[in-house]
Amino acid sequence: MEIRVREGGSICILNLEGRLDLASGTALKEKVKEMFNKNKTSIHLNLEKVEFINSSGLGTLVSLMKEARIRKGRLTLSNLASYVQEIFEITQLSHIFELFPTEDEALNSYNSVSVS
Amino acid sequence: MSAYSHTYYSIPESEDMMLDNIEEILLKHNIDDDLSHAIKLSVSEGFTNAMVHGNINTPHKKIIIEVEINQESIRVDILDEGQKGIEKIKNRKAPGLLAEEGRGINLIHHYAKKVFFEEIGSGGLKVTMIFDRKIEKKENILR
Repeated sequence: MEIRVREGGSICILNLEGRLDLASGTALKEKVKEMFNKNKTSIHLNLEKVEFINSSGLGTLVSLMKEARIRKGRLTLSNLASYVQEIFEITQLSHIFELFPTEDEALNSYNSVSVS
Repeated sequence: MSAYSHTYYSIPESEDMMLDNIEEILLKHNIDDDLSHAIKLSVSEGFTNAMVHGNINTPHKKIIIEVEINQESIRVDILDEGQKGIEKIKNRKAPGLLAEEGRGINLIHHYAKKVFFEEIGSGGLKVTMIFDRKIEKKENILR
């Protein structure tokens, strides 16, 4: 999985590409922990190019969301492909994650954060 | 009928390799996108369980994936070299919404028409999943 990071203000945007599974979930967790360690507690994940997610990938996202909440931050997700959205619905995780159709809508929910 | 068999070590890199191999088989047989996704997800869940809970991430322990495809159905067997564990599967509890693991078997049951778990004589567990080639959409909520 490729992870591209854009930082702006207090929010970090990560563009993910590929499969989100056990191995890549570990890499994602490490990358987001780097952000947390820089006191970036608002994390947005753009999943537009995530072609596959399994329960290990979901577990990673749940773990990151809980960590963000502990740090009084947020984890938002956007641009879910239909298969990925389906997994969120099947597992009912769509009820606990902040899911947005587009990245812009997610970022607007953080009250206008400028991103370079 | 076509049959395929692949063997993998219990290392993180194996999961991607296994998914590439499954994708290749499904493409060769013109399996449609919805069914292909259902199979890849289910096999991925079974594979992760075999590696993490069966073989306890012991690199030299192997996981075998066998696939049989005919006109009506697709059968996938996943065999590990672990400590069996069928009781653990039977007694598993539904994961809470904020659980970080425990959703895999429920996802397999959601997507596969039939699922069997069998302890194998040489040790380890065999998981068999059968998928209809004419997939019926289920309600999108795990029970």
